[in-house]
Amino acid sequence: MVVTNLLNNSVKLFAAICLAFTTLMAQAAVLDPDRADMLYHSYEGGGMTIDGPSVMLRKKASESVAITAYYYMDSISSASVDVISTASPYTEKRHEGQIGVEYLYDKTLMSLNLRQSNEDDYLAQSFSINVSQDTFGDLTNLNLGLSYGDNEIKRNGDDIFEEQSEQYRIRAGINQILTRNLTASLNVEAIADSGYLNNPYRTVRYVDSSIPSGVGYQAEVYPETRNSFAAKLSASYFLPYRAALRCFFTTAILTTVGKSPPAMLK
Amino acid sequence: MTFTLSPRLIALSLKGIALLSLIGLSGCSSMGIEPWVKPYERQNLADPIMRLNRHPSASMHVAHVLEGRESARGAEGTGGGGCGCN
Repeated sequence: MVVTNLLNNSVKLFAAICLAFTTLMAQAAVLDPDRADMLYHSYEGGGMTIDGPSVMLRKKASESVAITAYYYMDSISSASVDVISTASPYTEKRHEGQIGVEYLYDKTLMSLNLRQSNEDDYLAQSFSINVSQDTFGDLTNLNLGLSYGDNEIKRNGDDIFEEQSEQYRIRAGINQILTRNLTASLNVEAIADSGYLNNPYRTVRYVDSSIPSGVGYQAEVYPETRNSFAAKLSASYFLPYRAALRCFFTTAILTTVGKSPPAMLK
Repeated sequence: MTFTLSPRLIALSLKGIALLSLIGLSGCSSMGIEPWVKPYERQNLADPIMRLNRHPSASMHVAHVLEGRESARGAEGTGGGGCGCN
């Protein structure tokens, strides 16, 4: 309830600031140039192999509108801790697609992004809205964003199992030009998850003398709410011979709160 | 050490963000401060090498890996969610 009120307030705040942004009149900014990116990622360790390609395309439809398309794949072949202790190895593919539109009006850049991530046991869909504004003689850029995601969780080999979870994100940032060679930015983001946050395959093993094997298994019990708050401070400094020095510091606080059924561990 | 993130702290953070945003929107010039780096002095800053997110695909990948393996998420300036770790 508290989180819901908080999110309602956040949405109102976001709308008010967006309105304030659009009332500002200034000289026009420009959209980022077109680009095409390809990436291949690979990880091996702890009995897991994860790899796959990623493609991103960005094209300006006009001087004020740009469209972005993104595809990412994780191909997982795993024998993780859970798998080693209670199950057999598995292979799985995760496909992620995103499509985004950016609209530039004077010095206000608005963007909408739709995202879907699909696995055979997990479907995540989300949208996000971002607004950024150049101000103070273009020395300062302010940005705000809001996201909502809906997740559908299933369990392979169990047709009845189906759970849901939701995620809200709200973020803000400021980018400031400090000198003719130095720029710094501060980003903050609050994230609230609610719903089924367990790993549906993970179980707890315990000693039980009433069972012939002497060992019983039960599902883990997790709280149904998880909140986090993160902040990132970064700076970029221009060096001679067209080089740049970048540094950043990130901190994140993660809390799991809310109703949690009493632990059933024996 | 245990950190707790109370709704009150989140509410205070949001109010702080709103206040900073409004100060930014009203412009520092109202406080007698003028922009100190002129447009003709920004050729170094305009160089693509100075961008904090030069490779968005790589940034999104790193954010995804950090979230999946360390539950470290947020404030990265890229999309996220759905860790693909089930």
